Amino acid sequence: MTLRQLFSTLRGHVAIIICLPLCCALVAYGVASVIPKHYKVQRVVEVPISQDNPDFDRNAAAKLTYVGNGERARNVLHNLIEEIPVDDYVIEVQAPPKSNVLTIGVSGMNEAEATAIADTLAQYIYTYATHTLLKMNVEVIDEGPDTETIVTPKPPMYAIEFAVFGLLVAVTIATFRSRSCRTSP
Amino acid sequence: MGLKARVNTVHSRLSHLSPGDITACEFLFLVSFAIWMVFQLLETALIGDIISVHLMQVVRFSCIALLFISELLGGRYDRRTLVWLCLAWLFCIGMINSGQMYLIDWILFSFCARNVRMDKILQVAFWVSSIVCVGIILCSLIGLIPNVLWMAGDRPRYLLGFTYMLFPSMIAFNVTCIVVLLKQDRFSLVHALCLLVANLAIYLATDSRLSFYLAIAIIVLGLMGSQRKRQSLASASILLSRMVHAPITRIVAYAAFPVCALVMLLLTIMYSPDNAIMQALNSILGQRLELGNSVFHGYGLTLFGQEITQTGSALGADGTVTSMGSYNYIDSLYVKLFIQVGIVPAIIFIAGFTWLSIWAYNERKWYLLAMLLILALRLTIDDLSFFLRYNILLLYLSMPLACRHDMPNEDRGEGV
Repeated sequence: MTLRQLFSTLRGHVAIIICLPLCCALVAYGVASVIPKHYKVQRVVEVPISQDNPDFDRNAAAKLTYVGNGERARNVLHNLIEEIPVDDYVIEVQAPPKSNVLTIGVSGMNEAEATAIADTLAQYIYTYATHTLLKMNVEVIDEGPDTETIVTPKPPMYAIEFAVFGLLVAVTIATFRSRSCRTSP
Repeated sequence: MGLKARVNTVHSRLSHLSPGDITACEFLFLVSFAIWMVFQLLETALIGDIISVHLMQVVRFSCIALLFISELLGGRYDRRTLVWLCLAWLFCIGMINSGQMYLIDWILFSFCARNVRMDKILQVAFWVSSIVCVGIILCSLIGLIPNVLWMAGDRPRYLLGFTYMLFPSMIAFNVTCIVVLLKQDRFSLVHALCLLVANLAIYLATDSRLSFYLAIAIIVLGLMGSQRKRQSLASASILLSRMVHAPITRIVAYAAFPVCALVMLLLTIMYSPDNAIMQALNSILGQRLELGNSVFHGYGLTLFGQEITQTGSALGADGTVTSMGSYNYIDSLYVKLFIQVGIVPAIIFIAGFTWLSIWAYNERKWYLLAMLLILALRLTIDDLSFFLRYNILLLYLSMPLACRHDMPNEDRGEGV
């Protein structure tokens, strides 16, 4: 069957071509809205770059990623926020190459707890930078409960993905039905 | 003449345009594939900002546009093709949700590859991979691009102009597969020697053991298979004939991918540092069980994929570290698929390769079957085979849809 023949087959099955993608989209949207969400809270720490010694400052930022990922940072989190099960959360501190910006990412099933962990870790890194590395003007960006959280799964995204899947299934069903109509006496 | 008739005429003329024995559909596919491969391979070299992200996007979308035209000219659809498309889309959903949309390219190429003779694709892949790889290595040896020395414990490893030491060895391994699949019964001692020298040279520089050992296995299998008709390796050929006709081969062909996936997934999930056997296994597998287990406990399993920030040790195009943070890269493709891409897409991927293995067994395509079995093993500890630039077998996934009976015997791999 060529593409043109395929389209002519589909012309006779407009109802299923429209209805099935819509149904799939609605079901996917519903399921994605109901199932437990996964939250990712991000905080950014910026280490200022001085004119005199920029490489030294970037190295300080690199060192802070290791501090944030280290065992000591974990212990601090355990001690400061005892009521939150820190080990249930994925905590990552990363920085792009030659960058002075650190990204703290905390993922888990509870948004409030993830936010608390991210803020506490950001404060710990800030304190380490100012007191141990003696860096001035270090800044924690986007701190606080009002900042945007990445939530997955995203119901609209799932609706679109499964609408396309529904369309493909509808095309397959239409092809199957047209073949069986043609072969029946 | 009406518009419809004119369109018909143009379509028919374009479809049968054949410079040499290549149709317009095949030509567009091969051009698109060649350009895509060149840029994909160059992207892994230490060539700085010559290939920007913007340029890569332009190239990718241009190649997809060419594929679309190729599909319009030569695409044929039946029930199996449409079912294949439905399942492929479910797989794509996992890729989109896990933030790896760029990997959808290989599914498009694989789908459109059913309209093109595989030997032509193999030839293009061979020349493109060889020329680009040799070019990059030569540039690094004469100093045009950096040849970084990576010290992993007491193992000095040269990157040979690439951003990671495993990339050149993966290309050499892929070229080895391509040559054996292309030559089949015509695979000679000269071919074997050339491939051996190439793989050995890259192994000595990069110390990439897995790719080297598997390449040697493929060369040996290729030689044994091709020599069986020439009677020069009589005992080996008898052994091979017995092997392919033994019932165990059928079982292995049917179960290789699901069993390997299940074993690796269970080992990763059940890993415990308190268990001495698990610890020994983890040590043999280069800490892969521990890393996989840690990511599994952090993120869990989902049906249709999730985004996971992975920190590996590859360099950026300018030779600097791409990201700093704690190393959490999952090397096993099976584990990566289940945790990152989702349970449903992972099952579809494994089912797809199982279907291909069964088809290869039934069609007596022994060379292809041997490669697939080696791939099933490789995927337990390596994820680079998920990239089309390192694994030509991904294009074979649509081959059972378009089994051409007009192919010559050696191309169909018959007659063991």
